[in-house]
Amino acid sequence: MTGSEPHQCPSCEQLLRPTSLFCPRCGTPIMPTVSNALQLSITQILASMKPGQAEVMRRCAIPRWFDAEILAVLRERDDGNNANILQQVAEYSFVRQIGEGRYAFIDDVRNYLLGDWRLRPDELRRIHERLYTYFERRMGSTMVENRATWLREIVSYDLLLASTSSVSQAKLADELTQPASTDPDVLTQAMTKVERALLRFRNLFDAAFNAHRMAEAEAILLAAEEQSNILVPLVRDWLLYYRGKMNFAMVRLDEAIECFEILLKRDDLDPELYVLLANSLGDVQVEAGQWSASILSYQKALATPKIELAQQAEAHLGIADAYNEIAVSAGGWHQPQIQKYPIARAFAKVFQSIAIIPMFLLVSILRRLGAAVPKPLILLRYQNWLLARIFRASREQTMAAYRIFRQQNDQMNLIRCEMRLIDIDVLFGSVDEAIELAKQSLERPGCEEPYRKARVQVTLARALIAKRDFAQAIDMLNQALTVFRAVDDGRWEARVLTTLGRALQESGQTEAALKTYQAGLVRARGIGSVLSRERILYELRTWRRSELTYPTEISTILRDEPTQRFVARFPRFLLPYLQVGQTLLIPLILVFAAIVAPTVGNQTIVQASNNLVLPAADVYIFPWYRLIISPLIMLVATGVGYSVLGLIVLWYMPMTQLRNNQPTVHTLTPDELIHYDSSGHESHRIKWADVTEIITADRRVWKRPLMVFSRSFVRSTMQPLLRVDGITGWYNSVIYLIEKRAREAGAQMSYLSANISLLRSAWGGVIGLGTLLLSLIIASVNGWIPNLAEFLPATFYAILQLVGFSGILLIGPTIFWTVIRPLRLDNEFALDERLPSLAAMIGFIVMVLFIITDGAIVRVPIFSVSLFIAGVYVFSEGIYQLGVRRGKDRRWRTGVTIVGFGLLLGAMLIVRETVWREFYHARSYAYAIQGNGAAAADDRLREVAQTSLLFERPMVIEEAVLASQNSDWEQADQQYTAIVNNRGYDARTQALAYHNWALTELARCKKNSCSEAELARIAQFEATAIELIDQAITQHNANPEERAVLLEAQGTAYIEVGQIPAAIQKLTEALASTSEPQAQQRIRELLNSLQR
Amino acid sequence: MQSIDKLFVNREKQTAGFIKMLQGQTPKRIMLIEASGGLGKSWTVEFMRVECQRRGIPNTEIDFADSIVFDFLALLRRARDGFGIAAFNLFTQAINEVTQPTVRIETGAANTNAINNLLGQSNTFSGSNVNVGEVIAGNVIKDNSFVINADNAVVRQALQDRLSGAFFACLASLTSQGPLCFFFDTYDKVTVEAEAWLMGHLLPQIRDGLITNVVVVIAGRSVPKLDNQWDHLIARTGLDLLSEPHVKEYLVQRRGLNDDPNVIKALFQGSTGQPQLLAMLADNILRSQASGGDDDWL
Repeated sequence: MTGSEPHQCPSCEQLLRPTSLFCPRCGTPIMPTVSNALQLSITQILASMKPGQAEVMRRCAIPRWFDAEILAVLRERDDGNNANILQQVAEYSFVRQIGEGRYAFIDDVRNYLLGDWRLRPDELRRIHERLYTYFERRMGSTMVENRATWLREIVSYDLLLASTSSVSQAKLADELTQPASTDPDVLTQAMTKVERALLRFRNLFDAAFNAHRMAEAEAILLAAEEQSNILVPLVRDWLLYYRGKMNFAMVRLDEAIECFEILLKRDDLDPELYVLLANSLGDVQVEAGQWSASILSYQKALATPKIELAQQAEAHLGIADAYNEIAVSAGGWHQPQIQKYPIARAFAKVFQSIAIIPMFLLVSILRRLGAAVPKPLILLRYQNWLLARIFRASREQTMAAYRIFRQQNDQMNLIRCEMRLIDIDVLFGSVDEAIELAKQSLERPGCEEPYRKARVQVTLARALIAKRDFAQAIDMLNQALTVFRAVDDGRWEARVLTTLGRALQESGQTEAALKTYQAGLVRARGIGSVLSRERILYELRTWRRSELTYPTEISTILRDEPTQRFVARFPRFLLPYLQVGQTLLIPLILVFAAIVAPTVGNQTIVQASNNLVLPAADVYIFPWYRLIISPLIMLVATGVGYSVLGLIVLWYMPMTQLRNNQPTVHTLTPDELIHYDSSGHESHRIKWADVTEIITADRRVWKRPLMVFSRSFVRSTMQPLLRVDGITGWYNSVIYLIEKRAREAGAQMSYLSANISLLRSAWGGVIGLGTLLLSLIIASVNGWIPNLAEFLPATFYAILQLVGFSGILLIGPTIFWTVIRPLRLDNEFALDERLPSLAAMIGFIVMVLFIITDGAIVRVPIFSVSLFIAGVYVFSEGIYQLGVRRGKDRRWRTGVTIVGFGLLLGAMLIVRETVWREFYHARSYAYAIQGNGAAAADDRLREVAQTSLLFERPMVIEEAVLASQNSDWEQADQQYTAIVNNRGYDARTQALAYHNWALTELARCKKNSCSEAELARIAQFEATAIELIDQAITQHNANPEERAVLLEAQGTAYIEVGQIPAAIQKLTEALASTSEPQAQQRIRELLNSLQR
Repeated sequence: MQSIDKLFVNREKQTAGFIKMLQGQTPKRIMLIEASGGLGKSWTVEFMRVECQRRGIPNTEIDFADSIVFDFLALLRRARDGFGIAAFNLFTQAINEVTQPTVRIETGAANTNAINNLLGQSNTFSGSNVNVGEVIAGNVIKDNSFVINADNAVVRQALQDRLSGAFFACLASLTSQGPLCFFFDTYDKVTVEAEAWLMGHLLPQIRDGLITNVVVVIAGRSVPKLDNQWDHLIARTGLDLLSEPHVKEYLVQRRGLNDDPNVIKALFQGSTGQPQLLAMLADNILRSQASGGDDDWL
């Protein structure tokens, strides 16, 4: 209500003075506003007084309060009337008694009168000077405990006087038309006065502040701030900085940050103030949980050229604190769930022992080189990489501060740094080094002070626990506990109880451990220490997770703890990378195995109905050593890559991303659910009763959610949808508690489960079936079990083989889990926009690979086809989802849909004949196994009749035989000529070619008469065939059936060339070689006809 | 200063509620009066204090407009003095024990007792030349008026916690004899430490039922922000502008102005019923009727 409010006459609109009661132009009575009425009243009261009385009243507004002595200063006389006058002044309703004999004007009146005084700066300054002198005198003659009060007054008047002096000099300089005539010394002197007054103020404030006399510090600041509008900007800046510090001390973090940020936006700040500001802002942000922002603030301080060494060290230590808080708030190292069944535990142990080898070798080398790196067992789990990286960053910053403090021989801060280093060493498993450093700390001057010593002891005890020296650790912790309890330091008491609980737990004193943890929780709750509480909850959770038999009370404690905080183990920005990495790993291993493992089995010969012979359909077999070695090679390569990647993360992962993306936090209080986003700001605050829906979208192998693939959503009234990622530490507990608390608060909510249990779903069944089928077929073709082709109808077997080798039963569910489902979910909840693009890109890469390898991405053609179709589908799905994202653009959406379906249709058409070909091939194989050579040969010819753009097999013989069968003499002649003239073909192929060519020529001669020369050529073909067949049988080490077919062909050739005895001999050998009834009968019939 | 009895009008709702709280006729224990300047918060508080005195109810008023630095100790001392120092001997003794020029924790295993007893009766402070616990006037212990002087925030906090414990022990003893009342005025100027004590100790103790029979009145342009956990304990109120009859009552009966309806109406309209302004207008009129005082003060 200060200042005047000019107003207009309601009748004539004449602008009136604030105190007017009548319009001077028209005489209309004017009703004053409240503030004007107050001013009017005080003006009239003063006007009604004698001039001296009014002046004294005005002067009484200058000090914040007055008593008889100050009244004497204001009146400039100590004539014995002051008490009496004070009495009269106190009678006015706007005068308040604020203490014994002390009075003050109410704020509105004082502010109004001060406004008037500012129009009389010289007089005001003289009164300030008198007050300043008075307080100086009064301080000199007063008791010690009141000195601060008077000093406060002196300092505030000093600031006022220095400022007004500076301002008046500056005004004078402005008013002078000739700047040269201004004495620069006068201005400099004025500024020096300001700086001196400021320094005095700072010393006084800092003395109170650093001694934790907050009320006094605040009073000093308030006194200085009171007339800040007449202070020079430099002083105002410093006052705002100290206001920020006070707000921080009062845990008014937002206000503190606001003060600092206002100043930091300025570019003309005093450099000293800038450094202090940046460091202070960092401190507040650490406290507020805005760790990323705090690191940036400290870095601003470090980037200031004028930063002092000690400030530099503080900034480094601040960054180390921020990193440490980020890491510690995530809980601790990841603790895998202990397996329930002994066989699963044994398997896990074996797997771990193998998997750790590369990491063990690399880490051992690095540790020998002196690098600070966690134990291999810790790094084996990727969940710990980020944490380890952050701890390393914290350690680096601590070391930077440590070096400066050592240079300055700052023992206290050296101990601070060493405590941090010890903790990190223990976490990294460098226990001996930690113990050594702790002992060194305990020896430092200053560490004999019990409180400080106790803190170092707790740190040492942690190292002793890691060393499994529980007795000494427990003893040390009990000593420290005594000290912290004596000084009532709840924060450290809770920390000791946490560590003690751990020591007792690990030494097998279960009951005592549990009681200690409970006591720690009560203490942490009592003092509101979030970190202490969370540390104990972490210990309890890891206890429950790492042992099969744990005290049942743990679950009760964890369920009933009123406030709990759950922090994501990774910043969200890393999630897609982890998802892609994990998703691709298993398919890549399978594809690698599919490339390396199969090899073509020996190809036999089958005889077609017209005695033409041709190679039977081959089949891929999977030698056992390849089946084991190929995934093993891939696993070893993955293990080495994994280890190297882990170490790269540990050394080189840029912290910039992390600084801008800290892990998200969910805090569950008795009343609400609070979510802090990746910049540490509160983004949701949901009352339990306001929860309307809980949606879970977990992906599990069996029962446990896969952390990087799971997430849940909480819908509520008035708040945006809240996402809880599976990477949140103790994810199951969070979801359980959210449900429980919302239900207990009476929330009317629904549940939507979009969970998938991979192995327990229909898709899981499909994968199981696919794996079984593939295993059976592999075992069958490898001869580990009787060949399935012998027992099953050939067509059915062919379908089974195609389905098994195509991997469709494995690829289908994989696509559903890794592409279709995530994209649909992603679209539904508007999640990561990069996912559809990524899917489309992967699909596109597969398509391109298929084309550039001529359809042979992997060896097994039908598997190649499946991969191609899968690639096209994934690409289509990706672009379709991109279209859906741009939902408003209907044309675009329709376009991508058409393109997607078109692509899929095109792909189907491209592979259609290949699939048929593979089907005939497989059936031909089955027929061949079943001894039905004619059917096998027919399917071979059907196979070759299929034209296919991709994945062409070398089937020259088959093509020539097809031409023979079709009586396409010319075509057959060309093809046989090409084969026999190509030295690249082996003896068997050439033998078959000669034999078939001869038979073809004979057939032609039977239809069209041939010359003698032609007949001689046929005989020559057969002779060559006979010769080559001998070679082929020797070279190929042919099996009995193949040998029988070749001998039969040889026999037939002898017949054709008229050497009947030789033919009978060959046919007899063939009969002895084959065990196929059909072949035996055919050969017998031939022999009989020859003998006849 | 004129007495509150002479000045006070209206505010029946607030005072009736306050009396109910004193008499335990309502579960509410904390009254929050939030109103802008000039609406008579301090008058209302003062009137309630007078009411307490009339009923013989111990009470204490802490006005944060006071230029005193209300640190933790000053606050408790002020409260103690308001309730009567005799009931707070244990607290005063604790003050005398912990307010020393220097507090230093003794070191070494042999001195474990010293650490254990740091906050106890037999604590040992180095550098002390003060005899603690001097008894005056029969059963009343004299406060040595030293300040807490610890070089460590934690130690300081520990000492404050101990003092607070002693204070509440005395308070509990006093409340077993009947109700008592805290008044906090000009809360918008509350200090850090005072607020910390109020929000961290006094109010939670009342909420949790650890102390009973205590009524707290907090007035200011702003008051503590307490969430709905406190609803069952809190009576929130503001202060309205005075109505014309109240203005008349104030001017005629309290300030002795003539009962001239035109003047009353003009003053009512001029002040818009704002008590502070009304009082100043009354001052103004009375001032114009007076002789102007005896002396010029300069």
